[in-house]
Amino acid sequence: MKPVTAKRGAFFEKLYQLDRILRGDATRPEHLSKAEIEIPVVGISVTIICLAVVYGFCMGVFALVRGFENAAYQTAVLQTSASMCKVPLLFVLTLVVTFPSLYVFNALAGSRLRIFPVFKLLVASLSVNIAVLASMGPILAFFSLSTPNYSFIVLLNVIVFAVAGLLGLLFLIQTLGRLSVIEAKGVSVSTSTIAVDTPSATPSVTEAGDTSELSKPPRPTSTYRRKDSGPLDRPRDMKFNASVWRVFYCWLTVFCLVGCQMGWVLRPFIGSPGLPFQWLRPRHSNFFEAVYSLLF
Amino acid sequence: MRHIKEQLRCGLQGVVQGFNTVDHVLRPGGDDQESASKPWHKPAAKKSHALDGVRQTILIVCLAGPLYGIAMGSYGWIDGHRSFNAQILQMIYSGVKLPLLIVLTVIVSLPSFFVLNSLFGLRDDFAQALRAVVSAQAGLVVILAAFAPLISFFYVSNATEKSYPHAILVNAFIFGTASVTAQRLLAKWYAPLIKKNVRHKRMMLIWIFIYAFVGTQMGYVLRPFIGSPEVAISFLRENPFENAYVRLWQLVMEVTGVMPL
Repeated sequence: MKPVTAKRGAFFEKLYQLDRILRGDATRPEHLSKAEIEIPVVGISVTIICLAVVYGFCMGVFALVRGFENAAYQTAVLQTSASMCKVPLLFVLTLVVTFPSLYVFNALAGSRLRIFPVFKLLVASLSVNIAVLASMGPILAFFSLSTPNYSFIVLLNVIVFAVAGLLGLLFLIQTLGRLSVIEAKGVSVSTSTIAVDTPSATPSVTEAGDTSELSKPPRPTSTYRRKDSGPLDRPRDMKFNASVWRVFYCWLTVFCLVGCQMGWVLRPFIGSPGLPFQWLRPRHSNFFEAVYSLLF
Repeated sequence: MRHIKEQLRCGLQGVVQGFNTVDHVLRPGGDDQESASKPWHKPAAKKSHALDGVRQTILIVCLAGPLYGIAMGSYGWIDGHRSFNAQILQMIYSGVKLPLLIVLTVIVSLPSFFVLNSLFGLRDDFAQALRAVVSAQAGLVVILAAFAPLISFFYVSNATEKSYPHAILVNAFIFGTASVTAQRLLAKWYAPLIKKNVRHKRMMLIWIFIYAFVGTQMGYVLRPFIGSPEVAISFLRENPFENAYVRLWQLVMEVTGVMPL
């Protein structure tokens, strides 16, 4: 891998690392033998912050276009730059606020993951989340450009965030499960895990390779060995135990609560055309009260 | 003289090859089974580069796309509302906008298609998937181009008071037919991929959804394609930025009487 790395520029190397996560190379069980995802945390963080800024810009296109239409140039530029700052901030601050509690819950719920692997896991899930967000950025930017209707853009943003968040969470649970299984194995079998693991999985590969010549290949026994299995699939020979799900649900709750409130605090992201520009709205109510008052 | 002959021959060969490519676009998977029985059908190289065929299909979109656009935009002239010299601008605009519509829609939708393909573990087949998607666009353009004489014939033969609404309706019908056919074509291009991994089917449906969602709005922004005889000719409407879905919602509300406009 080293000589290939040397050939790429620093920029492409960073993108390549993100790409490894997206296509599932970084989280293949055979690459998780140390019970942690082997990714450069700093590099990935820089990349995803840049991507979040890109999405922030796409979000700000609405304010930019509407501002230029009404000759409110200052508001337009300010709101766009505010969106570009706030989207990365939303993710970074959420991670900073929740990380200690996530780690403690993880330890209490019976997972054996150490602090640094947990951090890497969270960064990797956020990178999936943000990569999906950024990939939908062009669609959002196009609709923001061509839609004067504020509610439509808010709705579209909510949908995009929901899709991205969902995929990020799917990645989180799958990788958490894989890590926990490997960690548990590693403790019981100690260092010989890899040596034991590889031969047991090899026959299934050759089996899958042989049968692929037939018109209808049978379901492979070990999915993750197949090249076409992704980071969102559960490897067939892995059973996630209850503690994995316990940790996941704790994390989900904490993450969603803090994430929603963080989004509320950092408003406005899009900028309602009727209101003057503000970096932050005055502190007022909270997300849950707002939703409650909307409903009842 | 010989020089010119040579050039003509080369040109003709190019045209024949172009039609072969068109044929290839319309007959996904035909190469493998049919090349033996049809020697004129040039088989594709087995180990091909990711962008092989993509370049050709982009060429098809850019060459065949304007055909239907021009035919579509000739309404005002054929129907006798404007002179040819006045209407030619609309024809050129429509001819440019039709390929633009397709190319822009694909460009806007591709990043999410790429990332979702990666996430669903289908990255190794991405080149093939991309080729399927782009070929389907070329197919759409070829289908539309084939309808170009038809729409011209309709314009010539239709001489009622309400010829403009008729023109819109027939164009919408042709677009609908062409789009549905192109999606079937996409499914055919996708068939080998789906055979390999069933998950490609889900990805294809996601692509169709994103593509249709973006394409509808793109078409709405790039109006007018036919050119109302009452409105002065322009590249885009005076107020192009409106949302197709919001407009549709308003229309539904208006028709059902829930929300008077």
